[in-house]
Amino acid sequence: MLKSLTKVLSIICVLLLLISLVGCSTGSQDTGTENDEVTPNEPGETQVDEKGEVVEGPNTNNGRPYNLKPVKWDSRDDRYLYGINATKLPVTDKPVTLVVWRAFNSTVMKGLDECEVFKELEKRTGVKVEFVYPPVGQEADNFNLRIATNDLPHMFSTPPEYPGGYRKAVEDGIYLELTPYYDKGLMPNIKWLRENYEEIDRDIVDDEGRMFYWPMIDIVPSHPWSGLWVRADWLEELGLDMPKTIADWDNMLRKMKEAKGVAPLALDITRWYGVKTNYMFIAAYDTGYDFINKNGKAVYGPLEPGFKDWLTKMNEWYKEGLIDPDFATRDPQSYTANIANGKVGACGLAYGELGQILETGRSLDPDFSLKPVLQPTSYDGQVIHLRQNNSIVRGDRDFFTTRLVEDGLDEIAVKWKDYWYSQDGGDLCSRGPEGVSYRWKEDGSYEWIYPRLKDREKEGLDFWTLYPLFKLHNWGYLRDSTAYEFRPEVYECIELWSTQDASWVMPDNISFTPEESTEFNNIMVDIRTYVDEMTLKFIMGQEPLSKYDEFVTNLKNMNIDRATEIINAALQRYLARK
Amino acid sequence: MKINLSNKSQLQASYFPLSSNWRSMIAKDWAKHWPLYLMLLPTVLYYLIWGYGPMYGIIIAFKEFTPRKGILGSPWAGFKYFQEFFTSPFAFRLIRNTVMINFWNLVFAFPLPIIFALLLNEVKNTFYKRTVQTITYMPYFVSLVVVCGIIVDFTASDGVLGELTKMLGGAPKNLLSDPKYFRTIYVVSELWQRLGWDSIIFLAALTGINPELYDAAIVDGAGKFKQVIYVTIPGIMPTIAILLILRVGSLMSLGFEKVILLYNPLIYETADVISSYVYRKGIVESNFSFATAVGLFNSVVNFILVILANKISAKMTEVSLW
Repeated sequence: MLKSLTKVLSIICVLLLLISLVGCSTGSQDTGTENDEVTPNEPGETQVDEKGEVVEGPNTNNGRPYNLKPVKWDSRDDRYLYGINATKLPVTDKPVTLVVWRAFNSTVMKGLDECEVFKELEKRTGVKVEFVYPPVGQEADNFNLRIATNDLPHMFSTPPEYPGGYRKAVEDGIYLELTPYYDKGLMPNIKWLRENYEEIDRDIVDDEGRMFYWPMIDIVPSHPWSGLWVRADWLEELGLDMPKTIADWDNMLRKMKEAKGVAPLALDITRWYGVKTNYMFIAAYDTGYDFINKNGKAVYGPLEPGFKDWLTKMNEWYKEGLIDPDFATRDPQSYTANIANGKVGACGLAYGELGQILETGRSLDPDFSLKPVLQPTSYDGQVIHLRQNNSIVRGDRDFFTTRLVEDGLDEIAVKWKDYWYSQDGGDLCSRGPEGVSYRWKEDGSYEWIYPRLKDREKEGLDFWTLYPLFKLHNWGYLRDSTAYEFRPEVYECIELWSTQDASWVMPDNISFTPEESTEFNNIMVDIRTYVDEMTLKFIMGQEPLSKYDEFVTNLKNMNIDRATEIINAALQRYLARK
Repeated sequence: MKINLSNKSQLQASYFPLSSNWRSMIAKDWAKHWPLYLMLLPTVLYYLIWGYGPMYGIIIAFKEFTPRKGILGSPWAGFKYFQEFFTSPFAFRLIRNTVMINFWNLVFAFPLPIIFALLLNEVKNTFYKRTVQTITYMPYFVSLVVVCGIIVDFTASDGVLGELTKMLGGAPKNLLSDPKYFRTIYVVSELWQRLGWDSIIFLAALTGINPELYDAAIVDGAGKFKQVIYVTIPGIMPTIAILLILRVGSLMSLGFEKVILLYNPLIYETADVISSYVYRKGIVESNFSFATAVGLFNSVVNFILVILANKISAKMTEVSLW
């Protein structure tokens, strides 16, 4: 108790020190810091509304504590969701409705306006949200159609990529650049985050320091959500240890094949649960399937020397019948069904899929048990540098459109959206309203109390189907990435996977100019087609590995060097950001 | 679908005497047949609005189209997108695959419905005939996604075909991971789905044959087979010819839906066709100008093919579209 108290105090002290430092450097930008109520340690953080009034005070924040310094939130594993509450609520005195476009597909609710978060958000901010949904499966068409017909919402939430990138969208007058609003001081909560977290300050902007989007920010960096698994019950039965090296895998897969009469390794090349995101076995050969950030330089994985060695190994395993013979044609459903049906000894998987697989698997075989495993090494003392990884500023982005300016709602909307990044706002989005979807327990942890969660067994539903009713997932807000219901296995796997280094993963937030974006995509569409095709052929032996050099020559002819140059330039600009 | 084309010139001659100019001709004809013109109007409008109007969009093939700037506002790009397609390392393969799949489809999926219709036509038991007909055209109404799901399951190494191979002592393999088999799988499944449906039009044509011709043939001593050769086939020849012309005219186009539901990178070599490539590069990347350019190229080639096929048909069978 005493220990944790001193820990909290020391963290607060360090933060205060930080704030005062930042405050000194930026204080000159702020005008009218004549407030007395706020501790003099943090002059830079005093927020002033556009009329120059100081907005602190107990009654300006919807009756909730109005604080300009972070407060500890207890949660599992002693993690903290930091943020400040610098928004004057409500953000508007006249009723305002914002139109939000968002892909939506749920069997438990009719629309997102049923979500508790938006009901509470409207109460607090005074802003009503009206949702427009694209038809399921036609999200990209609908997005393009709306742009073509100039039928814009006020905000696109996690839309498909605009052709030519978001900067092109601003040039085309679709998206709204956010920098001016930031400079005007309309985003006090984000400002605080930027000033206190180097990584956020670096990743929320483009190379010229401009802001274009509202990203999902994980203050508690979220752990890898995907990695490698093996059937622990099979290992035990065969008297094997968890495999550590490629040689261990050789041995394990062979024994599994012998004992179980199956091709034990489920492999996928192009989709996220396999080589592409989990770097299955390819990391052991010091390369990746796409671009990687090898010691601060962008390189294309298939051109790295290790790629041929990886292909050779996979080809060897395939020939021996250790890899699922149907791996090239499986879709995600059949991939997971194959695992659940007990025909797989090792695979790549996200923990989100684990529940369903374990349930089906155990109903067929009571001993069914999957355990996470680290990526193997191919030589003694090798350090693996690639695994599924997430930055603090995630790739899920909400975009404002120019319709806000046309409707004269831009400043209100900015203040409203900035609230999502405050401590209270982030907490509301992460967990839903306190007392409705969760409640704090005495020991400082919380529990989910949303009524429908209680009857979920009867309804045949789980947390992951029901959460849209009371909390948000991948929107632009300050997220507590632990605010989900996880199985115990999930804590085990993320803890294990996190121990491996991920420094070679390409950063999420490098940015391209519109010209670069167009040229890069143009080259890469053809190259990716070719690499996907040849990789499968090499593995399945339809092309001999002696043709690898020809493969490299073809990639060069398809202009891979130009694409590498573009992405490397973007990476260098990113790394040069302060 | 019985098109009586032979009388056309006579009709024209009687309606439009050569002596008057066309303006007075139309005025006269209007006065005489205005209800017919009125009935024609919806069709003309239909084609103007849905057929000719959208053609204006073709210009985006020559422009760097961005939706916000609109069709007219986007800057000109010349032949950039055509060049991009033809210099793509995959251009030849895509054209070859598209034509080959269509070609084999033409070779098998065109004559078989005709033969099937002829056989069905000879069945005298009406109940049996109807039942067969219904059963064979049912698959046509199964959603393509479902059909492709069935195909993927059947061709998996532990699917029906794989098990069959094992029973017969072979080594089962995944058929959709070998480029050799893709065209066969495509054409056979196409046949399964469309055989009954495509035969309907020929069955309809068959009912239009004058029964007296058969009587006359019987009198002349023709057996069943000779009747088919000398009465039935000539009777439905115009229908066959016209459908063939239309088929040839779409030799360059193949819908992407079935292909992208079946293919995987391993069989791109035979399975990747123009439309699936355009789908990946044009639609998914929102490169509308590129997609339009390739679409326009397709249409031009198809147009030329239709004209050629029509010419050849006119020479050889005296049946043509115009």
